[in-house]
Amino acid sequence: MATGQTSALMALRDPDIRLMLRVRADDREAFAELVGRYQHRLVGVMHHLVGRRDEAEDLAQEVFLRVFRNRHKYTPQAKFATWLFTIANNLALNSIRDRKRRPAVPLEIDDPAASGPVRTHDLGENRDPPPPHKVQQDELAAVVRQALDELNERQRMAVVLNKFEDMNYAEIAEVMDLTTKAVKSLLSRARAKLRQSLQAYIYMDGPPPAFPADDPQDEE
Amino acid sequence: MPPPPRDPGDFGATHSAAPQGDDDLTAYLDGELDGAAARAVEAKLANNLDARRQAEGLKKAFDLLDYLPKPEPSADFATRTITRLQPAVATPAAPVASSAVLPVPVTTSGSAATTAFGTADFVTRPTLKWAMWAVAGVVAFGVGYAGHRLAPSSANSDAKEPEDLAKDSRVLAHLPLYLGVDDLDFAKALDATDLFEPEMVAPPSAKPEGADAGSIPSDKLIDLFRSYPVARRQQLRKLDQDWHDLPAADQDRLRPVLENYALWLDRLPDGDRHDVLAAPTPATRLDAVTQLYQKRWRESLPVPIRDKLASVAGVEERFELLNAWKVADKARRDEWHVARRQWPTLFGSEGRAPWPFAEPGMADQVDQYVKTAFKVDLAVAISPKNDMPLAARLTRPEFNALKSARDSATKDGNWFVYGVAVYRLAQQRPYLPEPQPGKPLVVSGGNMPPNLPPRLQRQFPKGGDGANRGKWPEFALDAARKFQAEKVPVPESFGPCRPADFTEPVRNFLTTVLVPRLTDAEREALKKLEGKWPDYPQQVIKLAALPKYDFAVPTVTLPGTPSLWAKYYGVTPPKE
Repeated sequence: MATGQTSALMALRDPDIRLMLRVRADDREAFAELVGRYQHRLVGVMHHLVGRRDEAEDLAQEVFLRVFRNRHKYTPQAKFATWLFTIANNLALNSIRDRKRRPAVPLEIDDPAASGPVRTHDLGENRDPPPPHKVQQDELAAVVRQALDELNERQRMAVVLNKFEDMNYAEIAEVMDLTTKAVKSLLSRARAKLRQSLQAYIYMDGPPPAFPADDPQDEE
Repeated sequence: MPPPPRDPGDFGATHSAAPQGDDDLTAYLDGELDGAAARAVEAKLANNLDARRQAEGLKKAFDLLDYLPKPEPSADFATRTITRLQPAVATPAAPVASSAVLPVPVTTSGSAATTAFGTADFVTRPTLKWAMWAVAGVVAFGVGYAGHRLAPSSANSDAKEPEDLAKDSRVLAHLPLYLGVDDLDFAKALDATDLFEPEMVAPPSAKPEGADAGSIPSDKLIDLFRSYPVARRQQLRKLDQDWHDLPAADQDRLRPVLENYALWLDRLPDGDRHDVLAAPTPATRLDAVTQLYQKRWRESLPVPIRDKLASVAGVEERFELLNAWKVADKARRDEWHVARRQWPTLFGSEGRAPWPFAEPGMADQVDQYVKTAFKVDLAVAISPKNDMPLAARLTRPEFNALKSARDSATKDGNWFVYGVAVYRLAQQRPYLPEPQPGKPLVVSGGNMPPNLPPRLQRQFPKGGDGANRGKWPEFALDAARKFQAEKVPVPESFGPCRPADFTEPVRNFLTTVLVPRLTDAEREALKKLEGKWPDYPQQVIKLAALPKYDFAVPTVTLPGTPSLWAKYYGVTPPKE
């Protein structure tokens, strides 16, 4: 990413950077505004990464707290979001790795279905079949979630930034501290894996496209 | 028809690990290729059905991510986030506590205690015993909860693990303390929050009569332990082992934190306790604890304050209000800690004033210190119509509070409050020795040395002496900072900075009491500061206050031994 005076001047025109500079100057109102402005994106990204809303909010909250704690170290960059998501990346990857290293043992069992009888109110909730469209949507969401979970944490992060933050490879590279080439390769493997996991669902909304047969040998 | 032979440079339709060619295809779909590379991919797509299918598959799979739910943050996410900043902004590492969460005797949950069940350290530590007794409620809850939710798994877990409760006796004895704890790291993290300070543990005598401090419901503990899955049992055993491997000093520091946490858990409503115990990870559990703690603190605020909070719409305003109340609450707690810590010393003998006021002449000396150092006379009221004297170093509210405390000391014998007030102000407004009589005090721009460099002259405009005009040493310290910022040496005339410059009491103390006791290095270092103001007098005060010397500097610091002032009137000592 280009740096230097030009980009620094451009950066100062970015309202988010100006906001962050106010945060750096201990302006708490600016920090509240920053939280308000970025909470949806950050919680969204974290949720896609970890799959649980409460954990996503905890992580997003921790990102904001780190932004605040490190406000005096902040130097304007070409894009504020890149800096923010760099913090988010580090935190989320550490959290996911920590969870793998130290699997949590619940101090109470929160999911009775995992070890005991189904609660009666759960049965009540499921007594009336929901509309088929909703089932399809929910089922598909669960399948896609599982496919995303099957990616390793770096692949998942790259995909989420690419898909939901609309970041290009250079920006992802900066956030994840990788080369652009490495991001290209990471995303390629991730997308191939997603394609494989979701193979059965890819054409559920219609038949595979009929490409013009330009090679007779390829015709079935 | 057999599939056509695959071009070695093909994109590999079904490979999970993408070969090099796939990188370009994905990058092409993402619009990241340009020039020759893009044209090469386009050519491949034009000529190869497999490649087109693969590209379509990659794109479709990527599009399926749109089916993921779009999570929105909770309505109170921003507020919670900003509230969590509170300690970092206002009082670093300051706990947010209130009387509502201070441990108080549990009057409903200890009656099941019938069987003594303990280990050597259990029965010898009164505080731990009290904690064991007091958390019987959480144990009972845990059993009830586990009985309801874990019964089916309980039999299974027992079947997988041979029962040998004898080897777990130590774990069982400490189970009430471990209930909401994952591991030692969690315990340390809990300690770091400062939410469960040792000072908050109620004294053992607080338990109601009739409760047996050495008894806990062992059958319930065993049932509870049995009901846990194997993984949790193993986690508890490891926690217990790690705990007992800790050095004694660390155990002593952490034990009250765990006791206090267990007591706090015990007193939570069932739903809140469940939120803490059922948190999926140690980090989320710690967060749940923090959130609940703050929530209960907010709920404990007086109704008018809560109403005011509810009427404020802006997040920032709420933040400011909460912040102010937390700071005030912290100050009140500090005072309470001081009072409670020194209760027996201060009020052990009926009618006797606490140190130093019980000693002959000391009350007068403290009054004299107030007069000299703060430049106010507590015997004389200052009418609200009149301004505070120019030299006074106290604001009007500070003066009124101090005068009220002094009056109360005379009238009601409430010397402790006066001591706390004087000590706090002395800490906040350190005084520096004045020059000898006849020499001017640097308390306004008119006292500046002549021939100042122009850039410094501009710093002291005529009539622009600022808020500290007339106040020693504040004005001189402000001026010295301006000199230092302009890299101009602070003139020696600013204040006494050699032994001979001081008034007689200070000079005598320095030459006959302090300097002869200093080590060679200290003496040498002090000598090097001669001629430097304010460094020299500040170093004299600092050396005198060292625990090994523990001297008051006459007319400059509070009369009496500094360590005793700190002991009786200082707030909670900082954590080591």
